[in-house]
Amino acid sequence: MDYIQSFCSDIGSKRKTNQDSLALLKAETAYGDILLAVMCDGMGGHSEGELASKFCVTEMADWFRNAFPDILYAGVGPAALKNDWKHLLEDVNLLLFRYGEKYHSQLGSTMTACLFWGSQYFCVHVGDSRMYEISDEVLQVTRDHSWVEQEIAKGNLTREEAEHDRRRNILLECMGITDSVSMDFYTGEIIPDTVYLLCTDGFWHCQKPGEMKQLCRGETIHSNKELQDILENLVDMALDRGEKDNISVIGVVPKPDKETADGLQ
Amino acid sequence: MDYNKELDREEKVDPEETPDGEEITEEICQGDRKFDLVLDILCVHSDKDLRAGL
Repeated sequence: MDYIQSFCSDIGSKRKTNQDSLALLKAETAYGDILLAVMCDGMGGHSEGELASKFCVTEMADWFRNAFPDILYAGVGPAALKNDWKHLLEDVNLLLFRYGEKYHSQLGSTMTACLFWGSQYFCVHVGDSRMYEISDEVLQVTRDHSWVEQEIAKGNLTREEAEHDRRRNILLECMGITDSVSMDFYTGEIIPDTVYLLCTDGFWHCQKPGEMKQLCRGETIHSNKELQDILENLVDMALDRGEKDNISVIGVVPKPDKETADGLQ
Repeated sequence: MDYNKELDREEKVDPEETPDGEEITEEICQGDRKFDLVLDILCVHSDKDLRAGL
């Protein structure tokens, strides 16, 4: 599988800092191209939100560069990946928590990471950043670890009510806030010409599924530049609608081998 | 890219000099463990190092 990939990150209309961090890595291997996308939304005062999200993406990137090749060539498969990620995120969480304790501050970050490996994707998720899978339908792959999502599941809140609820930013799970963390894992088949998006809440707050589907048509995207233009367009739409938070998105479009036109390299 | 440096060193090992005398072919060293980073983007907004502050 070849991949078209791009990203866009904007500070938003009100914030003085951008606390979103992201990573995008791709390796040519004996098993074809493998791509890792990581999206993190930091929180905390005095520049610590930026630090928390940076730490999460850099640790995941380091894992891809240094630890993943051993998993890949050990032939142990996805079970080892899940186990490795669980321990990695637990370690990262604990270091963030200890840093916060040492400096008497609270810092944290969401994390949504997806590895596109062979014919499958593997996603690990903490918080309310999201992964979407867009083809004929807009599928939200991840489920938010948020209070409003919990109340929707309980039947106490409709999705429409949740969109405008003042408690919509309350997270039930987050990296670094306590000394332990729970995470969700998702896997799925990689479908060529599908658009996979990883984004922070500043991006998804203002998006409408119909518009995302209309703009993100994977079969019409043949280069990183074309994907970049679409992502910038979506971010501009969020800005026009008054989004105050930082706005970040990564896009990945799998293509059958040798179909991509250029490289973001 | 350190991982690739390790591989480069491994590829130069003479099969006849391996400790257990096992014949390691070039295909195993080179082909099977190929891992070339062709994209490595970090978009971050902090110049602090969290590990250094621990």
